[in-house]
Amino acid sequence: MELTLAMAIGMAIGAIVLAMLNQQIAFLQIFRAQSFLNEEAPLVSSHVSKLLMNAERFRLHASLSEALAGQNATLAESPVLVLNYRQPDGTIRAGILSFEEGPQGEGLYYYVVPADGVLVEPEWAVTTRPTNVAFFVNSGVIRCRLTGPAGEEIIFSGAMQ
Amino acid sequence: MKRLGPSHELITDNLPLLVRLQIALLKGDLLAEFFKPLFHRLGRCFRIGVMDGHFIKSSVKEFSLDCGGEGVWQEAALRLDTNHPQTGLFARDENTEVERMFRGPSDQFLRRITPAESKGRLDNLLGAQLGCCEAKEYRGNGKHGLAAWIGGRDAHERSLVRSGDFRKQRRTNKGFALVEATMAMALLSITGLLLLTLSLNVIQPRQYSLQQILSDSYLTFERAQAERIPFGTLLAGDSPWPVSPTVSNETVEIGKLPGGRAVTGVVTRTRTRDANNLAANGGVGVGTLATNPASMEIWRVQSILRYEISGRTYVKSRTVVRAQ
Repeated sequence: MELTLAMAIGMAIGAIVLAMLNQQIAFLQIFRAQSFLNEEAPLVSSHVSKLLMNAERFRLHASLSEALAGQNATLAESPVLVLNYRQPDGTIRAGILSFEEGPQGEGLYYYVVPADGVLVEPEWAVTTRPTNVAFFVNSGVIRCRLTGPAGEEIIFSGAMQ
Repeated sequence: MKRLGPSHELITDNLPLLVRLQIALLKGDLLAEFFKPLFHRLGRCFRIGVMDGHFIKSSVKEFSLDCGGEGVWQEAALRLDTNHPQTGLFARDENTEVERMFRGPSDQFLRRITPAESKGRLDNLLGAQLGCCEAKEYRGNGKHGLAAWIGGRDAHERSLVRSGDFRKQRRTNKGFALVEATMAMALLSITGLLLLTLSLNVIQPRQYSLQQILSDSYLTFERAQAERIPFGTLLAGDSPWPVSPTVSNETVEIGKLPGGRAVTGVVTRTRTRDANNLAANGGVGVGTLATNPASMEIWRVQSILRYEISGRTYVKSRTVVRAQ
């Protein structure tokens, strides 16, 4: 009887300890799964929204080389977006947002197209956390959908003036 | 066999000699009773003798016949060396301060016995298995001499009774172990609940901020669309933003949470005219050419997003002023 009781209490203590461990692991998993939207997305939103809002016009391309060459522009979902900005002197300068395998791994990179048209390293790595980034057009509004590592989705939009 | 002097021999290693001498010390009717605890405890006779913080005998070399607490005394008796200062019975009155650890330190560590089992008895100036009254009697016997102690039947009877006392005490400690385990279980449960509460306190605000980010990002679309939409479409009869107080409601997906769960909200759209608009441009008659000489037509285009988090409804709005 005593042995049974001792074993039962021992098993109960073990179960409680395991439950607490499981709870902590689940908590950490939830915490980590939320980190993209909580920590990364606000910064991405700040950068991308400003870039989209201030652009004069845009083009969508399937690849960086096509974007540089200005070929095969499309309205379908694309990983590369060319944005044109008017400079204070009235000239137009292009920037490119591209989701690609860059110097810091797969991520969303921003290039400033130089005057000679030859791209070198990206100016910024906006984010390397999302698993996919797609640009598309809805009602004339350019939209950017980021898919996070835990399947979360967040969409930023910008209007051309 | 170890020779101490010209006339005395100390026998410590020869078990048959020890047994024989022990039998001679016992009376006949106690002989059978003597061997019960002897064989019962023969397997656990390794022990550590501690006196006032000093080891007086190696646990390995001291091979007692009964582990009942009188090992040192018996050894002194077996020597029959009453003049030797280490015989103990005549030289010291405080033999009861001898502590016997009936299990090894590892047994105490593993809670087979509790440290209090031996220490408490030490504090009472008792041997490990002696009761309070017995200790006093032993003390008296020690003062009256070796013969009174060895020849007395009572002394041996007490020795035999002690084994039962020891078992009873162990049973009590088992019960205490169960109480300890139950307390540990309760403590673990409380700790688990506290940790769960703390975790929820951390996660809940993050859940709120997740929805804030999703709703903010969605409202960038409403704002962009209100800025982008042609003025003619905005003022048309099927405008996405009808004239207030008419509103249009639309359920939209504002994003997805971790795990791919879609978050939805309801967008209410409406537009309100500026008070200074001319009557021809939807004004209410306040605006005239005197107050609005350029005939400006101004509309406030408003989108209101309503969504729920944990049963609470949150509302956000974006307003864009369109003019032509």
